[in-house]
Amino acid sequence: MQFFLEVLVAGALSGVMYALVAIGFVLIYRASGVFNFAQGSMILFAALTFVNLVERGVPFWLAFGATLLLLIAAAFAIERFVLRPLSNGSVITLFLATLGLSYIFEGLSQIAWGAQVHALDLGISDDPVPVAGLSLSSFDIAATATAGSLVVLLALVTGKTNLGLSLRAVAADPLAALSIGIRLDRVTVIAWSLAGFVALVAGLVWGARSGVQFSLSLIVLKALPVLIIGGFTSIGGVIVAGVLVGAGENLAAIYLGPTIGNGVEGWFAYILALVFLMARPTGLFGQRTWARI
Amino acid sequence: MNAPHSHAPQGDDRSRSAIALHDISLSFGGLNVLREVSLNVRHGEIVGLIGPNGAGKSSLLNVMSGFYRADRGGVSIDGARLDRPRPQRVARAGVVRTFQNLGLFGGMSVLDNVLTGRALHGKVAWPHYLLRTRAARNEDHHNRALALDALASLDLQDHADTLVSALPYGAQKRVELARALAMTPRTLLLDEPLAGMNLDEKQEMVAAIRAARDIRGATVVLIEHDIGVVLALADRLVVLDRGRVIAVGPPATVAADSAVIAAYLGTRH
Amino acid sequence: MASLPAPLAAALPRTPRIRALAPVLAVATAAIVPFAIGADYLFGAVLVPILILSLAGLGLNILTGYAGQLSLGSAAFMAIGAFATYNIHLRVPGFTLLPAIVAGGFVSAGFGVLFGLPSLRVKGFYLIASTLAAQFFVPWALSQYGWFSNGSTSGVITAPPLTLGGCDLDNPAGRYAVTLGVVAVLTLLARNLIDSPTGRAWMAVRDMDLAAAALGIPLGRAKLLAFAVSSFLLGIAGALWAFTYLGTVEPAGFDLDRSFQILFVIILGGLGSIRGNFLGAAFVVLLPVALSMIGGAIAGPSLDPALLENAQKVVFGALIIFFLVAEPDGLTRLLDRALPYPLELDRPDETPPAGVAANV
Repeated sequence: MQFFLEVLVAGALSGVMYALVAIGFVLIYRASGVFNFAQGSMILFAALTFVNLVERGVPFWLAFGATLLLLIAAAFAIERFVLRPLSNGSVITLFLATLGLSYIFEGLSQIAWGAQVHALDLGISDDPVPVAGLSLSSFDIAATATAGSLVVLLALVTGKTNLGLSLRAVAADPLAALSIGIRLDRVTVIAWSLAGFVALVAGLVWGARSGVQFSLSLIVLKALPVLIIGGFTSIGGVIVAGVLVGAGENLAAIYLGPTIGNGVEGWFAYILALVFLMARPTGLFGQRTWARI
Repeated sequence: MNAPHSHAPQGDDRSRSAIALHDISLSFGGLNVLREVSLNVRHGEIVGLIGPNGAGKSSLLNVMSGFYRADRGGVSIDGARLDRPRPQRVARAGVVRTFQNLGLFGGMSVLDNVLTGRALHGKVAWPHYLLRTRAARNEDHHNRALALDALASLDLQDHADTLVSALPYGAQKRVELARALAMTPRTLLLDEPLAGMNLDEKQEMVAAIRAARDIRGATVVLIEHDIGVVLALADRLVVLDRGRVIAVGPPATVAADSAVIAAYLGTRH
Repeated sequence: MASLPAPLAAALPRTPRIRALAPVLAVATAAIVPFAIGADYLFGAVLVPILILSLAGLGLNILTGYAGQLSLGSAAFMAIGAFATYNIHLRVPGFTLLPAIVAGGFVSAGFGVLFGLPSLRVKGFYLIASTLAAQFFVPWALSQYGWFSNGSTSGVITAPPLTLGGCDLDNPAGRYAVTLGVVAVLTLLARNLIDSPTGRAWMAVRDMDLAAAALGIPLGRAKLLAFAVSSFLLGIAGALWAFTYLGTVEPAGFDLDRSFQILFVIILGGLGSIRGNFLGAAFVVLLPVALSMIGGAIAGPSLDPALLENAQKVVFGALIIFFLVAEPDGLTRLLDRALPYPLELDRPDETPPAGVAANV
């Protein structure tokens, strides 16, 4: 029983890391109505930039700030050259554009910084910590705390500030927001910059855990089932879904693995997402849309 | 050239019900959209459905065409009660509708849009089309003829190969009616078919709608805000206000009804 | 049935001669010119993969371009086709190569319908959950269970030498001939289907499914048929990939990147176009070749292959965005603009100029 609980909880905490990545997607989806496939490569780009600056002797916060500035610059470029021209495009068109973006980010990251793995030391140790009779990883706990603070921060920004109000207005109805004078381009840049910030934090946490390498950009593939289950529009939903996916994946790997083979965690999350989707076609917490005919 | 012969309903037909609603009630999240609406549209009638904005006219049409499921009450088509039908079932019963916000297929040409209207009438299975057998080619030729016929009746034959979304709004509305006519419908449900049209286009549409009844024998229910058009076209008017039927009858009578006038002027009652 | 007045009957558009002629010319050119040139490299490294990717693109285009169901799992269905063909050819007596390929296509079609079932309930972007599930599950299953690869450890299968009805075609020219034949026939059949009520039903579902329902079109059946036909073509493309192109394939070769590659074929070539698949496939195959030639000219022999690969990524990404923004109808529309008359009338964007009426 203890083993089961440990697997469950370890998976759940792992899932929080997925949620951390997925939050960036939710931000962009609510602002631009698009699933940003490039989020994963943005994470890679952010982490690679940061780690290379640090390795060249740049102090932590300076490197953080410089990377963030770079991401904000990217947000401007993306809004101007990709999103604005495609503002009348369909959801699929926008998604495909972010697919193109992801290829650009990936290629540029590796041209600029190379393809080797970089170790990233954030000063967080990975020791077993006894909690309520279970042995948990101190790193996982730190990651969960980070994700939690990020959520609180974002909730405060979107809920209590004027900027947040604009973000929510744009998410609800872009045309109406335009008509009351909200600067759509500015809001878009801010949303994408926020997503960049989230990408940077996620990149640092993931990078500290498994090293900064190309596979970081594949995290987006893990975030997708989380988003599908949790719905694209709810940060809270994504956290719940992340925990579900992480726990489920871990349990499946440990308990199903011996029977049906290794590598179950490669596809389990997707089958899980599919099952959820059949029951709830717009995700656990997603919004149903109505068509006007 | 064959002289068109009238399919206008004769004798017994005239009293038969083409489409009827029995005590329809519908609400969305606490908002009562339709309250105990009953309506009987007879074969060959042109019924105008009018009322202030938000009265529930489109919702009523959506219930009739199977897009909304009423909370209470039922729909009959040709006298047969249908239990919460889906749109395809309604279409198979010969009831064809148009959409307030245009239900055209933007990525296809005008002719292809109208051809999709022949979907229900296809008797040749898809493997025939795969191999382009004689049966498939014949059915295709026949469907194209009917589609062009429908386009010609709305003066659209020159635009058959134009991408439909490249046409102006009024022309698109005409394409939608052409598609509806190509379905050889028994009953037409038209949701603001004349919206956004100039005088000439309106006259063309009115002529086409009247011809659909006079020549092809279709029953018509039409939502329309242009009162002049409705008074001229309709045999009967049904007036909705806030989800209820407040008046039914010939246009002259209904136009003089005080409750109707009050509803339009917004007098509280 | 009232007969049509004479003038209208005359106005019925017959298939324009140009439109009927173009594919015939294309196939004739493809059947003659390469053999005249006779370069093995041309066959094996350029023409065969272009043809196969065109077929795969056609399959994905039917599902995504015509029927509007986004799929990120194309490569999984190619894998199913390849491995099903291999196993049927190997284990079922009486199945020579061509019947095995067709059977492999049907197996893939069956799985296509299975993974297409969620489309009856799930709409829009969320649907990718299903094809992505296929994309991750299928290669895993194929390499996990050795039966699929007849005992090979990493799921590698090797195609037997290419013989057809006693002829030994196991050479670049022979493989090209088989590939050309299969792709030409399937493209013709697909074209017939697209130009029929089935194709129009697909496009109706794509453009406004509510209106399609009001016309009586059965949405579920239309979508599942699209999945079936699409997966059939993708399965055969996968079988050809193994049998006439690479000769040796493994499940890892049908990964998400391959699915993206096919997606690029149809975006660059033009969604909802038949001709576009060939243009897109040619682009996808030839661009890396061109880039490495340019790279070689600039940097000489010290060109870092990793740098080249990443440069390719950036170029492809930028091209995707460029085409989506500037020319969403892809290379096929660019080609139309360059020619004096339109070759394809399935996506007209204006009334044809005077003198180029529909019944040319």
